[in-house]
Order: sequence, then C-alpha cells, then structure tokens
Amino acid sequence: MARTRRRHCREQKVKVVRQDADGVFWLGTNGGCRDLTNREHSRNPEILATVNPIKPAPRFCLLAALALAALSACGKKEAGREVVVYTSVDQVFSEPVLRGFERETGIRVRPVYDVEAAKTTGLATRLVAEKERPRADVFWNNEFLQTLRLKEQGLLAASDPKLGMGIPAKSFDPQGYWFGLGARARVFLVNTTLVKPGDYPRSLGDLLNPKYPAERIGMALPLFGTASTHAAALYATQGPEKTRAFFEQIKSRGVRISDGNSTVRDLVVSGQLWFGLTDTDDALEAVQRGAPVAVVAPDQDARGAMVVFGTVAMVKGAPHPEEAKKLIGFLLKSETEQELIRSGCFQWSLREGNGATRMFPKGLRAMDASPDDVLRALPVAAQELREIFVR
Amino acid sequence: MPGLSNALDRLLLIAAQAAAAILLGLPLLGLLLVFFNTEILSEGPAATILPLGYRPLGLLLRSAGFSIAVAVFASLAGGLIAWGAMGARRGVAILSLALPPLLIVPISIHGLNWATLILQLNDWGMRHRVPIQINGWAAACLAEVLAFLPLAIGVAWTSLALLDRKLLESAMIFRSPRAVVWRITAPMAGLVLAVGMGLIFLLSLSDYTVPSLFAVQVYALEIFSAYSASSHPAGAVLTALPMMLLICFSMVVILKAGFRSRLLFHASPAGSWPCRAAGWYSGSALTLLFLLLALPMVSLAAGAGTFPLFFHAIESARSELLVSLRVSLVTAVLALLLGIGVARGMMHGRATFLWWALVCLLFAMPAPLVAIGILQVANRAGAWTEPFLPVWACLARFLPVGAFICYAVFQRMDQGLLEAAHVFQRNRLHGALRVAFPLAWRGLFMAAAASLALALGELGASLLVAPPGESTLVIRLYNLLHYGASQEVASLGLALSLLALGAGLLLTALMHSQKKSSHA
Repeated sequence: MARTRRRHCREQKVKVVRQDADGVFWLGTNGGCRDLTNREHSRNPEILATVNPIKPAPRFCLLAALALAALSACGKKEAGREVVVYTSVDQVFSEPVLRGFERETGIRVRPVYDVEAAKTTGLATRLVAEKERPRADVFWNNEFLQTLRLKEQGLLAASDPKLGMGIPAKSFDPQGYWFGLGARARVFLVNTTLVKPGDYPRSLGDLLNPKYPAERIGMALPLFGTASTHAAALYATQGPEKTRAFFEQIKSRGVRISDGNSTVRDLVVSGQLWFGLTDTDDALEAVQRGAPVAVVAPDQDARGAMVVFGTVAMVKGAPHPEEAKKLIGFLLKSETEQELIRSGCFQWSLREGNGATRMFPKGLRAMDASPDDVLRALPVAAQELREIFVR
Repeated sequence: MPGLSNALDRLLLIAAQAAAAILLGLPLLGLLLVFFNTEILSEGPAATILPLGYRPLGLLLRSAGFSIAVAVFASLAGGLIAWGAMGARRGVAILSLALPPLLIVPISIHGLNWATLILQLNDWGMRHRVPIQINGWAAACLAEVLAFLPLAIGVAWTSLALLDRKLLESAMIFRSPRAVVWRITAPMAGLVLAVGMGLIFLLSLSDYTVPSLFAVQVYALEIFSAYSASSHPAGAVLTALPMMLLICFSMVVILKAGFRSRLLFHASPAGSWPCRAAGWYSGSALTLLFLLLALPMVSLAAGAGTFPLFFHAIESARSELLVSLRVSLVTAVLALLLGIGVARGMMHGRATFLWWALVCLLFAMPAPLVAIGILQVANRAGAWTEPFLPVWACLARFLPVGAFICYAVFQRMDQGLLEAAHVFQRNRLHGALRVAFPLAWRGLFMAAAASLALALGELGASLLVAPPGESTLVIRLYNLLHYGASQEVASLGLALSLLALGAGLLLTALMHSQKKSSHA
C-alpha cells in the first residue's frame, strides 16, 4: 500500500499532502488537489499556497556547512620565525613599528591589539586566562600599572636588565621583568573659544572651583586606564582621606564623568565641555586636527602633572623567547621611541626625561610617585572610587 | 531505503545536539575550572568582590529596571513601526530593503551615534536657551531605545511575517484592525516578540558605554570595575552571577508568557498582509523607518569623504573585513544547523530541562566570561583549537539566539500538516526536507541572519580569543574611534551598510520570485 502511494505521488508530482476534517487525505499538485482515490477534484489555493517549490539540497547544505567550518580554521600559515605580541598601544601607532621590526629582522610579528572599550584590561585578562598555556611572547602596554600587576601574579619572565640602559631607574625593573618606553601626561584640554587664556584651569583643584560650571567640565571615570592610574597616584602621594574627599566633592558637584579620555577630548572639541582632564596623546590628536583647543599641564607650581609611561615585558613561558628578546630590544631602541613620539603615541622620551617638547616648550614638572607606590595604593583607590562613582 | 535514511536523520540530530552540547557546555565547565585554580574564596579580596550589600544590589535593581524599560519601549516602538510599515503598499519590500543596512552596523556603534546626537542637541539647546534638555537616565534610555530599534523592528517584522494570515482575515470580518492587533496579532506573535525583548534586555543590561556617556552607572560597569580592581576571573564570575540569574529568571517568565500563545500557532503565512493600517499611520511608520535609515547613512556618507579616501579605508581594513565576514558567516550557518538540533532538544525528549538551562545560562553570560571559559578549555586541549576559537566564542554567545528562533518556528508549524506528511514520506529525512523545511525556511533564514548580524558586531569575547595576527572589523572600528579617525570609521560603516543594502535587494528579489512562483 505504501509503495503504491509513493508511486502515485511520484507520477502525480505531489508536493504536499493534507488531511481534512473528514479524514480524507488530499494531495496538492501543480494542477490542483485531489483525494487519494481520485473521486473528487478541487482547486484548493490554501494547499497550493503552502507548497513551496524550493527543492532544498540538504546534503549540499551540510557539505557547505562543513566547508565553512573548515574555512573558519583557515588562516595564513607561514613557516619561519615569528613572535606574538599583545599590545594595548593603539594600532595606528604600534602597527608601523611592528612592520619595521619585521623588515629589519625578517621575523614575522603576529599582533593582538586591545581596544579603548576594554580600558587596557582586555589583554591583561587574556594573559591571566592563558596562564596555563601562554600564546603571547611580549606584552607591550601603553601604561605601567597592569604590567606591574602581571609581574606580581608571576606572569612575566625576566629579560636582560642591561636592556634598560639609559632609562631612569624607576622606569624599569632592576631584575628585567619590565622596561619603560615613552611617556605621556595627564593634562587639561581647554576649548579656546569658550575659555579665555586668563581663565584656563591651573590645578586639579580647579575641578572644584565654582567659577567653572560643573556640567561644563569633565574627566574620565577614574576606575580604568590612565584615569585610574592617576587616581591611584593621588592616593599614594597625598593620602587616602584627602583624595577620597576630593573625589567625593567631584561627584557631589556634578562634574561630567565620561567613559574614557577620548570621549572627554571629543566633548571639549565639540564645545560641550569648557575643559576636561585627559591624556596628552588624546589632546595632541585634537591639536593636530586643528580643533580650537589648548593643552594645559596642571599643578606646575606644586606637585606636578601625572606622567604615565608605557612598558614592555616578556611573558613567562613565551613560545618564542629568542624572538621575544629581539623584539623587546628593538622596541627599547632610542630610534623606536623617537618614532613613537613623532607619530603622537607618546610625548616624552624616558631616556631624555620630561624635557622640553613641542607641546610644552618649557618642560614639564612631573608628579613624584613611584610605580610600586601607585600599585600598592590601587586596591584601596579602586574600592573607594567604585563606591563613590558606581552607585 | 527508509530505514537507512531514518537512521541518517537520527544520526544528524544526535551529531548536531552533541556538537551543541560540547560548544555550549565546555565554556561553563571552563568557568568552573577557574574556581579550582584560584584562592579567591579563601583570600581577603572575596569580600570586596562578592556583590553583597546595599549599593551593588540597588545598582543591579536599577540597571534591571533601566534595561526592562529599554526592552519594552524598543519592542513596542519596533512593533508599531513594523505593523504600520507592513500595512502600507510595498511595505514589506521597503522593510526588507531598509532593515539589513541598519542591522549590520553593530549596535554599539548605533548607540554611540545616537548618544552623540542627543548630547549635541542638548548642547544646541543650551546655547539657544531652549528649555528642553534630555539628561541622565532618560537620555541614556532614549539613546539605547534608538540603538535597539532596528533590531526590535526586525524581530517584530519576523513575528508578524510568520503569522497565520487566514486567522487575521477571519478576525477582521468581525472586529476593527486595532482590536485584531491586541486580541489576535499580539498573542500570536508573542513568543518571537518575547525572545526579541529578552535579547534587547540582555544586550542593554550588559552594556555600560552608552549609559556612562550620560553619567549613568549600571551594573555592567560594576562587573568590569570589580574585575579591573582584582584581576581575578572568579571575582568577575561572582559579580556577574546575580545579573545572570536575573536574566535567566526573566527569560523563563517572558517565554512562559509567550508559550500561552502556542495554541494559536498555525502555518500559512503566504499571501498578502491582510491588515491594512490607516494611511497616516503607515505613512508615519515608513517616515520613521526612512529617517532611521537615512540619518546614519547620510552622516556616514558625509563623513566618508572622497571616493579615493573611501576605497583606501576599505583597502586598509581588508584583512579585518575578511576575517569578520568569514567568522560571522560560519557562525550563522552553524548556529542555524546546530540551533535546529538544540530547538528539537528543547521541545522533545528527556533532556528538555537541561537544554533550556544550558541555553538560558549561555544567553545570560557576559561576553568576557564566555571567552574566559573557552580559554580555560583551550589551554588544556592544545594549540590546534586556536583557529576555531573566534567561531566558538560567537557560537557560544549566539547559538542560543538561533535556537530560540528555531524553537519558535517549530512551535508554530502546523502539526496536522506534518502528521499528514508522515503518511506519504519515504522516510523522516524526506518529509523534513520536502514539507517541514519549505514551511519553516523563512524563520530559519531569520535565525541565520540574526546570528550573522550579532556575530559581525561581537567584541567582548573576540577580543580575548582572536588568534594572534587576526583582528576583526569591530576591533579595528573601536581602535579608529578612539584615535578619532572618523573618516575611516564612516567609510567602513558605509561599506558595511551598502553590503547589507545589496543583501536586502537580493532578499527582496528572492521573496518576490517566491511569491510569484507560489501563485503560478
């Protein structure tokens, strides 16, 4: 019976069957519908409407899916020496330097870049998660705090301390776990069409100055990135009570807190803020764009501006240690640092100190905070600032 | 050989379910391993990480309220716009053209664009002494609703397109179109709408970038800052736990409400849309849709600069573009194939509850935690897993979405028709391919399209698992945004939108040809 039905279906080019309320099976064909015994004929548009002429080729789909899955694994597999670098330095700055290393040594560089949204913790997270089987050889960070924390967690390997020759003592690890590379500072970016030169802010205390409306001045949330490093440095240099009171006043006053330094820059450039606290690399980008802004270093007659330097370190258990050492050596070259300064990634050379630059022709007075003190102050700072700002 | 073919069908189902169980279950197992490898619970920082106390709990509740408001307003607005557009002549064609370019641009980019626009309007108002200012929670909510609106319209359109038109036609004989909307359409479209609302709720709850632009702090920021302060993945898991439980609970409540409409499901979506809306209403809906499309497109086209700059930006991002397309295409296909298996597991069998639990947990898990779980497993499995990790991360995040859509599609299939097919099918595979697939292909296509769009915009997990030397387009976009290279961002956004517009044109042509052939 079943065979008869199947032959019948094939002969009649049946597309679909349906059972009606009386229990009669109806066959839908291109010509209409009829019951199994051919007793009645009808044109039932409903059944025809559900008939879909698509004839899927499932096995083809399956093969296509398998092919796609295989495709997902396809990558450039080139033989030869290579080095894997995780870097939170912006891709636009770090990529040309890494290409330069490839040209000079013939060693292929496989970079992983961080994004601003991850607030420099993205790659540190990844390094912690990969602790059991490290994939990275070199960690090139645009600040120092995460690097020091990685060292504390035992995730970095020591390199030759001689690589740090020419770098000030507090900007590299004496055992060779990390080395400083280029620096930037925390500065005020001021919109010059909205604020006259005589009214420029001079000190961090101006964030609390009533002559500036709170909703027209801003800073990044001091929980991530360099804003967090700056806050921890304040905790380290002026003590927890005073610093906590300062940030509580900032919060209660209603100073505009943005999610990142680049947002502060954009708000100042667009005129939504009179001025904001940001990094020199963000500020420089606005200056180079020709925006009506001025850069002011805070507290030049007192404790000085916070200077944040970049770091480079070898990862413990690096799969390519020799290549990693070569890359670290290349990055620590004076020429490389100068190239990074020219491109706008950093504004100061650590080797030359915080001397005169295009941005600050008279030089810059830096806050005296050692990296280790900042690291020690961080847990308390992070906890207290979270309670103040995330509520 | 019906026996062999039935066995093949069974084998395919088991293979799909096994693969899905591995891909979804292992990240969870990986997160458990984090706890074995850490002293977090015996150390001091536990007290600072555990989300106890008035402040974190209050923050969680406020964030949940905020995200519920965003999900409800976006879904409501999306439903009304989709309803109005479908009620207009050529409304379906306009929707299929307008939506792909909107959906393919990552939601985070939409959010940042709308937030910037609101901030600029506020600034303009302040300068011109206009008393209307939108700030704080209201501004953040508005920016997020606008960012999620394309997704909400897409979900509402899908749910309406799948409705049984005959039921609507019958209802409209007796009652007004408005009554039909509330009494027939809304309950019937409920399940798909509920899934969409849940998805928007989840995406909103896990985002802090847009709220923080308006100085609004949410629980997602708490998770991130807790992790940032401690560097312990276990701490991030513990902090995220209340949010995950909240999302799971919400999903169960929403989907349970959606199931009530299950009895109304039938399948005959073909034919023209029967509910014509009033002219002014359809016109308004189409105007809004046009504005939603035109505003970003015009701003992108203006920002992209000259043709040489436009092409240079695309050329510079060629490798990232190819990686993103490859990962998202593979994710879409696998999310569909495995999603079918998972959806069948969620419907029948002894492990129904387990499938639901697995899918809901993964759906609720923040992206970085998914990636950390995957890395824990990959660390033990070896280097061979590395090239697959981006697809795995996207699948772990978006396979639940595919499974939910497949589940909704299967629920609304006409069981009578399938049973009738059983009588004549040569074997189960034959019946599935000749009857079930033609009935379900639109919904399945939507499942794949949703997975593709979400995978294309994925950032949180990709950042942690992308193989060295490979970067995705979203990572590049975020880097460019930070650097202030708005011309390149606009060029890439425009290129993506044009690509999606092409896909929309193809989709429209395909639907048109289907319509013609089914009427022939």
